[in-house]
Amino acid sequence: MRKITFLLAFLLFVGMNMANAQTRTIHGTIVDSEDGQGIPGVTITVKGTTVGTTTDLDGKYSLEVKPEYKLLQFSYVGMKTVEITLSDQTEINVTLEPDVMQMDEVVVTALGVSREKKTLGYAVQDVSGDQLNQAKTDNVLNALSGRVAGVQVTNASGAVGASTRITIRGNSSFRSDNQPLFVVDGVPISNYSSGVDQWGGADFGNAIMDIDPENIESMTVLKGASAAALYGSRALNGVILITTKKGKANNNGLGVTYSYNVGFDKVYILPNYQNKYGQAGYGSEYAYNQYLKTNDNGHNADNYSYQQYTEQQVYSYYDGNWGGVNDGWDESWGSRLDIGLKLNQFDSPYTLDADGNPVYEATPWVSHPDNVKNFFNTGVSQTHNVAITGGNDKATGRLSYVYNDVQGVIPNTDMYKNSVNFTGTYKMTDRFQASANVTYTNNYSSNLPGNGYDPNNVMQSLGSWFGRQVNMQSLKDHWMELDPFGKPYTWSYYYHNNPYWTVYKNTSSRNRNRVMGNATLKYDINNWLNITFRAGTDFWSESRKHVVYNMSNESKNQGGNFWESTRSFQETNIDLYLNFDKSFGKDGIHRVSGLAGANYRNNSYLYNYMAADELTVPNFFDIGNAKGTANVDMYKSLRTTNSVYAQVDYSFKDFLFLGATIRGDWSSTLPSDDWNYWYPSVNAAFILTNLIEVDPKVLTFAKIRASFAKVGGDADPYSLYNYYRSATPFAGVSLYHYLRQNNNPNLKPEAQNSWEIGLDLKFWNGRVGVDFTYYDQKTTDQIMAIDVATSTGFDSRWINAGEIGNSGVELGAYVDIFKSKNFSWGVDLNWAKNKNVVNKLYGDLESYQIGSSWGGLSIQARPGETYGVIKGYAFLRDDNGNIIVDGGGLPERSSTLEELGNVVPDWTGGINNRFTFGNTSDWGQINFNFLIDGRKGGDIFSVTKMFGLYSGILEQTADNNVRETGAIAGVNAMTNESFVHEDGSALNTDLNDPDNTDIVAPSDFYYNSYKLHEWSIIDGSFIKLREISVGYALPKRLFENSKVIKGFDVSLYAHNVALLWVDSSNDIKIDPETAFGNSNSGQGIEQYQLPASRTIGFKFSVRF
Amino acid sequence: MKKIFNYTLLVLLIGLFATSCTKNWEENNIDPNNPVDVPMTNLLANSIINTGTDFFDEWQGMNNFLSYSGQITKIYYIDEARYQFRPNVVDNVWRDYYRVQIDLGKMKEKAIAAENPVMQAVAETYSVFLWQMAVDQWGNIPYSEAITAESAENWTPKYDNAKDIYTDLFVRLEEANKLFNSTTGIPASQIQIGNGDFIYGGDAAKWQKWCNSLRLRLAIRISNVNPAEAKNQLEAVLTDPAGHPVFASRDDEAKLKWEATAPYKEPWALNHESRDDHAMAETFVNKLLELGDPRLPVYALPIADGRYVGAPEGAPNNAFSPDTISRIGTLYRDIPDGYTYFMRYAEVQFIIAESALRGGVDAMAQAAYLEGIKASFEETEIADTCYAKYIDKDAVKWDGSTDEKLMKVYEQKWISLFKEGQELWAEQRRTDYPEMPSASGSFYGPENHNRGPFRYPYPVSEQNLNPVNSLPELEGIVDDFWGKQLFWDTRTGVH
Repeated sequence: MRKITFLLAFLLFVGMNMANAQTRTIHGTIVDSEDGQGIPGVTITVKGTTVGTTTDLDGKYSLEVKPEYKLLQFSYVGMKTVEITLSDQTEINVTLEPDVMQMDEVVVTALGVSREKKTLGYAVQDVSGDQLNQAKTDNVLNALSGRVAGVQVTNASGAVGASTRITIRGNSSFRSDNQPLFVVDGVPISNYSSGVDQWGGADFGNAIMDIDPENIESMTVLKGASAAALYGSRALNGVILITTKKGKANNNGLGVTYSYNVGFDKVYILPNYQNKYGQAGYGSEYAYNQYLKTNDNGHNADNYSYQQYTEQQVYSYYDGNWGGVNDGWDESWGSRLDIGLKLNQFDSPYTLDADGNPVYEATPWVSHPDNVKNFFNTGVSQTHNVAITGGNDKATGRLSYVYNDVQGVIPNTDMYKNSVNFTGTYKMTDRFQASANVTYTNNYSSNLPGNGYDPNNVMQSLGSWFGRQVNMQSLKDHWMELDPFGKPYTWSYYYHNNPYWTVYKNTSSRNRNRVMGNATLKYDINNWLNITFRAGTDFWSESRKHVVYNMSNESKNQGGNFWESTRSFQETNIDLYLNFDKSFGKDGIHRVSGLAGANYRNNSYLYNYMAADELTVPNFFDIGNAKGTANVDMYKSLRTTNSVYAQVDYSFKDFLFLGATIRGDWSSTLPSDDWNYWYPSVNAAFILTNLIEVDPKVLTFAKIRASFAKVGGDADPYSLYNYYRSATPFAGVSLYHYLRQNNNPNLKPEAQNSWEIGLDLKFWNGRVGVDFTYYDQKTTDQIMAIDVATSTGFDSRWINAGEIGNSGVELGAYVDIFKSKNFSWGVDLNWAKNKNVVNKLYGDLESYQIGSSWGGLSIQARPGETYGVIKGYAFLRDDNGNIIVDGGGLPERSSTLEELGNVVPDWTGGINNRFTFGNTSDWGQINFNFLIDGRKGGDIFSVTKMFGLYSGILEQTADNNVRETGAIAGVNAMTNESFVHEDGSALNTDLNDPDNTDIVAPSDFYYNSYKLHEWSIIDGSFIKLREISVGYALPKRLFENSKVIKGFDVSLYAHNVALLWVDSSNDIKIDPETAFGNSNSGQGIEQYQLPASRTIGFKFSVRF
Repeated sequence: MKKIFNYTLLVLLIGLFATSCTKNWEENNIDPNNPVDVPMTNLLANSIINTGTDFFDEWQGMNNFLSYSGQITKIYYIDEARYQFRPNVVDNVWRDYYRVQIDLGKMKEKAIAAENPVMQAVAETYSVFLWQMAVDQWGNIPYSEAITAESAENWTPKYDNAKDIYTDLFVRLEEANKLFNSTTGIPASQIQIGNGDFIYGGDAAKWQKWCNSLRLRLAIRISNVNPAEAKNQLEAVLTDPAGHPVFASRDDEAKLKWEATAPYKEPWALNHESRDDHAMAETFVNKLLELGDPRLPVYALPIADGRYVGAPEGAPNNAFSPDTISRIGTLYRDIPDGYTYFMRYAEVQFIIAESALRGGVDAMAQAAYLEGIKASFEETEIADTCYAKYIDKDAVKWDGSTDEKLMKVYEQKWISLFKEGQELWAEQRRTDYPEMPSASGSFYGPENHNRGPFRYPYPVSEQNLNPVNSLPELEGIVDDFWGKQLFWDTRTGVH
C-alpha cells in the first residue's frame, strides 16, 4: 500500500508548478535545414553535465544556465550534433542538418543509460517504435522478425494470442527457457508463459504481449553478456530494453494523437490434402479388387459393384459411433469420391422409422476440397490509441490509452486489451527531478484455441483424422443441434467433436490484470554527479478457465468437466545509484563517466488450481458441483536477490573508449555459503577515423571494438532440499510420495564467459555501412536437472554440470542506393550464424532429453553436437543409401534410434527495402517498405505429416494411382528414394503383375509412417515475405495554418505476406515456424500446428 | 568535495546494508508447498493407488498381457497386441515400479524408526508383491543397488540376476511373516496400519495372509525350474497354518475397490468411457464355449445375433469386422467402483491343488481344485446349481491322469485369473497353457516366432542413462521380446 501511495504522490507532483530561483535563461528555436520547420524533441544539454532540456512541438526551447556553463550541445537522432560556446547570449537559434552517417545515434544501454552508439565496445541493436508499428502485430515480439541480427523470433501459430519465442545468439542453457530478460524503462518485467505443450492446452501467450507497440519509443537488444553484464545473473540470455514514449513540452497546450489500426487475418498456410478418397478404410479400387479376389462371400465379382462394396463393406453412416458400416473410422482410406457413389452420410436427410431410428437417404459421395480452409474465419484486429502529451519546461506528461480488439481466424476466439499508460516528469527544483510511469493493462480472452495433440485443438481432427467428403457447412449450420440419437451433431461422434462445438462450447478463457510502473527521483549533486533512486514493480494476476461440455468427446457421460486457475506474480526492484560524468584536461580530452549502486529484487509467485473431472449438474462449472473428489493444487514461491554494481567508462578525445563493469549478486535460492558471486566485464572501442584523416568519400567511419564479460545465474527456488509431494486424495485419505526430482543442497551459481569483437565501417559518405560482430561464449557449471536412470527411484536430479558453447557472426549492413529530395531507396540487411556445441553434459552421460514425441522420437543435447539433436527411427539403408524393403514390399526401419537432424537453424537473416517518394514540403511523401526474412536449416519432426500419411489425408497418399494399383516403393510412392530387397535385388516394378509381392496395399504402405520417423522430418528452411508497408505523410503546409489538425499519416501494410520458399522435404507444406509456447521442449516438434495467417491492414494517425 | 564523499558513502552504506540483509533467506528457501515428512500410512495409500493406476490399466494388461495370454485383445489400433510397443510406455512402467519402491523404502525406514513391526511387514509384503511382478516382466533388473541414490550416491545401479532376486524375496517374506507374529506385548496404538490401507482397511491379520499367499505364488512359479526349493517354500507355509496363515476365503483376497468417481475410477471402466478398442479374444471365448462355461456371459457380452465371438489376438488389418466381436462383460468393464485384483483366493486354491497333485496328495488337490472353481463362480455370481452341474462335466471333472488333472488346474486357474494381466502372462509362460503362438499380425513377422513374448522390452531410458549395467543385459534378446526366457520358464523348443 505504501508503494501505491508513493506512486500517487508522484503523479500529483507532475503538473504542479512550483516557482524556483531564476538564473539566466536562454531560449531559441531549432529548425531543420531541409524545410526550415521547427524540430520537436531536440536534446539540449550543457556539455559535461546532466543539465538539459528538449524542444517543444514547434522546435522551441528555453533553458536556465549558470555562469559556469561553457558549452551547449544540440542533438537529435538522424541530425548532426551542433555545439555552441556560451558567452552571454539569451537567444540561440540553431539549424540542424541531417546526418547521413547517423554516427551520433544514441542508444539505451543497461540500466537505462543513454549512450552514443559509436562509443560502445559491444554490440547492441535497436529498433524504433516507428519500425515496430509499420505493420501492426498483436504481439510486439513478432515485429522483431528479421530486423535484428542474431535474434530468432518464432511465433507459435497464427492463432489469436499465440506465444512468441525469442532467442538471442542461440540456446545457452539447459534449464531456463533461453528467453532474454525484458526491461521497461529500467525496470525488469515478466514475460511469463505457460499453458501449452505438444500434448495440448491453450496457448495463453507470453506476458510481453501486454506491452502495446504504440507506447514504445524504441527497443534495444543487448545481445551479448558484455552489453548485459550489469544485469548480472539475469543476463544469461541477453536483455531487451524497452523505452516507452514520454511527454514533450508543448507551449501551445496539449498535443493529442489518435491512431487507428485495422488488420484482417486470413489463414495462408495449410497442408496439401488429397481430394480423391473419403472417410473410412479399405475403400480404394485396390482394396475393392483385393476383396473380390480373396472374398468370394457369394458375391460374383461382376454383380458386386463398387457402390455395393462401398455401402456394405466400407462406409455407411448410421450414428457415427460404429453403428453403421465403419462410421466411427476416422481415416481417409475410404472409397473414391466424385464418381457418382451415393452413401448414407452424417448430413444425409433422414426419416424416423417406427422405433424412432433414422432411415437415411443416400447422398452423393463428393469431395469438399476446401472443407478445412472453410472452417477458418477472417480474423479482424482493431486498435484505437489516443495519446495526450503536454507540459512545460518544468513538467511533462503523456497519457495514453490503447484498446485492442482481436477476433481470431478460428471461430469464437478473441482477445481484448485495454491499456492505460501515464508517464510524467517534474523538475521540482533545478536539481531535483521526479518522474513516474505507470501502466495498467487488462488482457481478456473469452476463448483461446487448443493446441497440440488434444481434442480441444480442432486441427487434431481436421489435420489428419478427418474425411475429405465432409461438408463443413453442414457442421457449421447444425453444430448446436442433436442428432436422432440425442448426441451432438457431428461427422463422426466416436472420436471427434464437431469442430464448431469444440470452439463454441469447450472454451479456454483468460483474464489478466497487470500494473507495472516505476517512480524515479534524481538529484543533481553538482554538474557532473547525480544520485538516482528508482523503485519499480510489475504485478499481474491472471485467471484461466477451461470448460468441457457434457457429451463432448472428452466427457461423453460425465456431465462435463472444467478447471480453473489463478496465478499472481510480482517482481519489485529498488535501485539506488550514483551517476557521474566528468571531463578533465585541456578541452576535456579525458572523460570519465559511469555509475555505482545497489539493487534489491523480490520475486513472488502464487498459483491456485481447482478442477472437476465430472459434474453432478451437467454443464454447471462450479467446484461445488464436482462429482467425486475435486483436484486441487496450490503453489507459491519467493525469491530475493541483493546486488551491488558499478560501471566506469573512460574516453580519450573522441577515438578511444574503455569501459568496465562489476556486479555482485546475493541470491536466496542458493546455499548460504555459495549465494554470493561476482560478474565483471570490460570493453573497448577505437574509432580509427577520428584519429587519422581519411577521405570520408571513401571511408567515412571505422570503429573496432572488443569486450569480455562473465555473467551467470542462480537456481530455481526450492532446488536444495528433498520433500514429499501429494496427489489427489483417495476416499478422503491424503496420498503422499517422495519427490521425483532429487534436490541438491550443494548447488553453486552457474557461469557464462563470453567475448566478442566487432567492426563498424561506413563508406562513401556514410551511404554504405557494415557492422560485423564475432562472438564466442561458453556457459559452464549449469544448474540443470539431468535425467537419471529411473531405477534409482528418481527421474532427475539437480546438479552443476554441462557446458554449452556458442560462437557466431552477426552482420548488419545498409546501403542507401539512391538518395534525393524526391526519391530514395535504401536496403538494410541482417544476417547471423550461430554455431552451438554442447561441450559436455555430466560424467559420461551421452544425452540430455529436451523434448520427445511419438514412438521414441526425442530431441536431445549430446556432447560434441549442436543442442537439439533429433533422434528417432530411420529407414534401414544399404551402403549405397538405398532403402531396404522387407518381403512384403514395406520399407524397413533401423534397429536403433538414429540421428535424424537438428532443430537449430544454421543461420537466420532478413532484408528490408525502404523507398521514399516525394517529400512533405511538396506533395507529401510515400514510404514503401518490404521485409524479407528467412532461415536455413532447423529441422522439424512433423506429426501433421506422420499422421497425415498414416490417415491418408495428405495429397501424396493418393498420388500416382497408388490407391488404384497399390503402392510399390520408389515406383509410385516415395518416388524420390530408391529401394532394394534385403538380398540387394531390385524391386519388381510391374504394377500390373498379379504375383508381384512388392505391391503393398496403399494404407499399409503409409501406416508405416508411424514407425519411421525419418519420413516425417522436415528441413525448416524458409524464405518469407514478412512485411510490406506503404505509408503516406501529407504535405506539411496543409497543417501549417490549421488550428486543429497538426498532422496526418496513413499507411497500408501486410504482415506474413507469403511463404516464398520452403525446402523440398517440406512437401506437405507446413509453416516451418512452429513451436509450443516459448519453452525449450516445444522446439523442433510440429504437432497439428494452428495454421499461420496473413494480415492485411490499414492504419492512420492524426495529430491535434 | 566533502559532500560528494558523503553521498558516495551513503550509497555504499545502503548497498552494503541491502546486500547483507539476508535474514530468513535459508528459511525462505525451504519449500512451503511440500512437507519434509509425512505419515507412513499416506505413503502406503499412494503406493496402493499407483499400483492400480500404473500396473493394471490399459497400458499394463489390457493392451498387452491379456492379449499375450489369450483373454482379451485389441480390435482397433492393434499395435501392442501385435507387439508394436510404445517405448515411452515401457519407460514409464519401469519408472513407476521404482517410484513405488522408493516410497515403500521410506515407509519401511519410518516403520523401523517408529518400532512398528506391522507397518514394516506391510511395507515388505507389498514391496515383494511388486518386485515379483517387475522380475516376471523383465528378468534381470536393478534390485540390490536400486533406490540407493540417496543412501549410497549410487546413480547407476547394477542389474541383479532374476533368480537371486527371487531368493531374496523368499527371505523377505519369511521376515515379514515373523514381524506379523511378533506383535505380542506391543500396544495396539503402536502397530496401526492406518486409513491408507485401501486393501484391508488396516487389518494386519489379512496382510499376513497375503504375505504367505504371495509366498505360494513365488514358490509355484519356480516349481518347474527348482522343484526342491519350491517344495520347501510351499511346505514352510502350508504345513504351518497357525504360524503361516494364507487366504481362507474370498474375504481375504487382495484387491482394490475403486471410487465411483473420477479420477479414481476402476481403470477398465475409465478406459471404456472414451475407448472401445478392446474386446474378447478368441482363445478365451472358444475355450469357454467348448466347456459350456456358465461364466462366459459374465466375462463377455454377446454380439447382435446373440453369439459369443472372440477376435484373433493381435490380428492383421481387416482380419475381422469389429462389430462381430464380443465386448468385455459389464462386471469387469463398466463398474467404476469395481475391483482391481492383486491376488485372489481362487489362485491360492489352485496353487495348493497343483502342489498337492504333484506331491501325490490327490484328495487335497481335488478339494482345492473344486474350492478354486467355486470361488471363481462366486465372484461371477453364478448360481450354485450351475456350479454343481459344471464340475460334473467331463472336461472339468477331477479325473484322468495326473497330467490331465494338471491341465485342468491350469485351465481353471487361467479362467479364474480373468483380468489379472501380469499373473496370467507369467503363468502362461510357466505352464505353456494355453499354448499361445505368435500373434497373426506380429510386427516381427508371425512366422518368426512360435510363441508370444517371453519378456518385456527393456526401457530406452536405462540404455541411455545406465548403459554400463543395462547394455550387457540386451545381449541375447531377440526382437525385443524373445531370445531370453525368464529363469523359471522351462519351456523348450520355443522361440
